[in-house]
Amino acid sequence: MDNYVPSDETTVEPENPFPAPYNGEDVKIMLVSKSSKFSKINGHVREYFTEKPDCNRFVIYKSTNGATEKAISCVEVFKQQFEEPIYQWTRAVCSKRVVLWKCQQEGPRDIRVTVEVPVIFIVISRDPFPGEYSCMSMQCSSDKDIAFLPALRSSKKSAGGKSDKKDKKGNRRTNEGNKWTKPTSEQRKKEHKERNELLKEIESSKNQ
Amino acid sequence: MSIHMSTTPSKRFDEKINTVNRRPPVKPCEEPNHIYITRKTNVESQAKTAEEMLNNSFDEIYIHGMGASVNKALVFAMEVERKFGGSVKSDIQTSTVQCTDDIVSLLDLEQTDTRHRSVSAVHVHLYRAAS
Repeated sequence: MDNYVPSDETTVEPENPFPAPYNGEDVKIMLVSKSSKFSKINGHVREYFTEKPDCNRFVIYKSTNGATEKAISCVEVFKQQFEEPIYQWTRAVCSKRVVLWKCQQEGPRDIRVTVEVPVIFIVISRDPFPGEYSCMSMQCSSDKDIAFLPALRSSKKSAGGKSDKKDKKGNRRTNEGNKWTKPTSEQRKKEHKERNELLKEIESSKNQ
Repeated sequence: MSIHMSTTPSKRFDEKINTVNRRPPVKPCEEPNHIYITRKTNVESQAKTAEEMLNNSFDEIYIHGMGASVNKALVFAMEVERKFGGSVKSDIQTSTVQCTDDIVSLLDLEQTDTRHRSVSAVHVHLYRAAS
């Protein structure tokens, strides 16, 4: 790559992945970059919500230049600070950054490098989302459970593969089906008792 | 020998006379179909593992990333989604994870404080779409 120099860089911005009414042109989109300040962005959103409480019901946070963690943190902070329950809908898409590397020597072709950067879109709404769009990407600030917890509970029950092996290990601990494990003290006492009874029977039969 | 423990509300401490031991964050689930992405995770090799999991063992996998590895977790999830074309779909949720740090004084090793940090996390649920 010594003889190549970047000549042109274009970024293909992704479209808003949400359906109407969250993808209109008049929708408020907060662009969050790595240098954005929580207080400024969240203060602006709070002002927007309180300015016209009847009209301004939702805002979209969008990350730029790969600042997805910042956008998520921003939303998490806003959810904790806002008094009312807030409904959240998260979606991630890819933006394409195409860089053209030109060769300084004659002969080799130019190189076109495409880098896909994740962009996160988060809708913050004061109203619940319509039922027709219902999906697992939606959550509410009043939810105290861990994300996907109901799904986790069901997956624990129906998990296959290695989890079966774990179950076998569990059986081993209870000494069911594995004869090589060390017996527990109760099992040893039981075996000792049975042995003593057998010995007594043998001795009594000899005496007779 | 007694160990004094107290919780400090302030995050600030003197770095010259204290050392911080970060406790590993609590994992929500230890099942094999839960993948935890860290800063050290190799996305390519982990994507292969996830692909094998979805092909052979599981219909759904969960990807978790927190803090600095949120972006990496999303890259990883999209990579897996891209490998499967349209047959795998994703749901994304975010949360805040409470992490605990132990602040140990270098002057008096018996004196330990704890500090709590809130870290943002992302959870991606990848599942086979019904055909």
